[in-house]
Amino acid sequence: MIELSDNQKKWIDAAKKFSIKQKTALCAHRSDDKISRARLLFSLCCEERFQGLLVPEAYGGSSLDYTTAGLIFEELGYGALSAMPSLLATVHCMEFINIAGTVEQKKEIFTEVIANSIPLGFGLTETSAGSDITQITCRAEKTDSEYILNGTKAIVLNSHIAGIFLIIARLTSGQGRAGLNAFLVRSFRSGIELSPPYNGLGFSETVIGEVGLTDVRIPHTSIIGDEGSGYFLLMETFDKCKPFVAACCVGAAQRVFDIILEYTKSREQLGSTLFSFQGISFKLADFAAKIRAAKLLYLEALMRIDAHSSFTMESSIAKLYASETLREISEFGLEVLGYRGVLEDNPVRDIFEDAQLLISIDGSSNIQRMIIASQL
Amino acid sequence: MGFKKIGKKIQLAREAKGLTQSDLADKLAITQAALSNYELGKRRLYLHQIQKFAEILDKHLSYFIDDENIDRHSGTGPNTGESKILLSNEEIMSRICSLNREEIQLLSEFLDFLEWRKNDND
Repeated sequence: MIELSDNQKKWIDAAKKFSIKQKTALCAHRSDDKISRARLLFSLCCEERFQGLLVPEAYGGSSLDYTTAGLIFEELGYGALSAMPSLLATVHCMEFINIAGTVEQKKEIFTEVIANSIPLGFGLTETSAGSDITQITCRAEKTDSEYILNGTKAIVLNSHIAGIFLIIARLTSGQGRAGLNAFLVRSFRSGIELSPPYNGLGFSETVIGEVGLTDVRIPHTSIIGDEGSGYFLLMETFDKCKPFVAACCVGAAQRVFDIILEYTKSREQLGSTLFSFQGISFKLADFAAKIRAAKLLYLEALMRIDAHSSFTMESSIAKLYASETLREISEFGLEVLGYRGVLEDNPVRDIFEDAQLLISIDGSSNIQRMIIASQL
Repeated sequence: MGFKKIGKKIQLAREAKGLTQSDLADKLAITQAALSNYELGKRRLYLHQIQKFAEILDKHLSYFIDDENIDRHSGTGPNTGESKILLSNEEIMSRICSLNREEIQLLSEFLDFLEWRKNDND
């Protein structure tokens, strides 16, 4: 049995309250444009200090352990999944900086994000570089006084609301994996151009778009970590953040489970409740087991990170299992609910859509399988 | 995923320094089994861990993280005529270790041939 500490209970309670608060706020701003709503949602997250859970207190953060942060993400996944992509993008960037940033970079960026509620944008993916990040073509040219960035980043979460981007670019001096580096780029820099936000399925409250960089000049102090270290820092960031994505998936899966359970126990067809049919109840029994397993897997990964044990494989297992479970149960939810499930504002519909995208955050399921296989 | 190559480089650098797996594991405060997994590329290595390997094995970080099998800091590189002819022992070992059983058999036969030719010329 998982015993929660008083502090963990306090944070989870705050996450529960936030879920109601954000829902009310989004309803009140229903007619606002997407970018305004995304800004609003992120600022509400910041009011609860969710953007700095792992950040050391010295930089204004909450200095929580990974396990506690995971439990909070699970609760947020349950009640406020739509706020998660934007928050997760910022948390990923913060973690990257936490791992390899200088004291000055941490002071500067963490203060902005925590005190001023500024979201961060993760500029990694490119049109021709997704799972294989060694194909990244965005270039950084080093001159005596600065770096000059050129390229286009695709599928950037928070593209239009981020105050700072973490851009992965290739230094002209480096080849393959060793050429990759991370740079902090302020969104107001000359040469940054944003394309109109995508209008795709899922992540409906998150602004996602392309960020073009043309001769964007940034100081030498903008690089995070040593030259050539970007690939390894990315891997560590992903491996440490995957369990958070898994935790969100577990929370969302539990939400869908609860909706299906309530519905099937109350709806009567053919003279008895839907739940009384084994075609439904056995499926729910399987999902009860899967959600429990997914929770234990993400907790194991996070506890290993907290304990400084190896966590590569455990993180990938947690992410793979939780995101696939979420996809399965949300699909089952739509099947059970029928047309009700696809009506506007039905949470199962939104979760089903988000589930398709959560699968690809921090690497698709097949990438996770590749990582797990490599560790066997 | 590239970690096998880094693991091999760790093994080569360790052997070049005359350290056993246990010696290096002690210096890193990890188990010998964990080190073995790193050398076999069975465990992903993060930057701070590679930095520690570099420090103890007296190598520059780039020796481990560069994709090429060259030691940039030994004075030889892919664009110098010298490096095209003279490979370091580490590179030779690295290339041999990447061969499969059949290729090793072929290499062995070729070495036998070179030895035979050398003896014949003598």
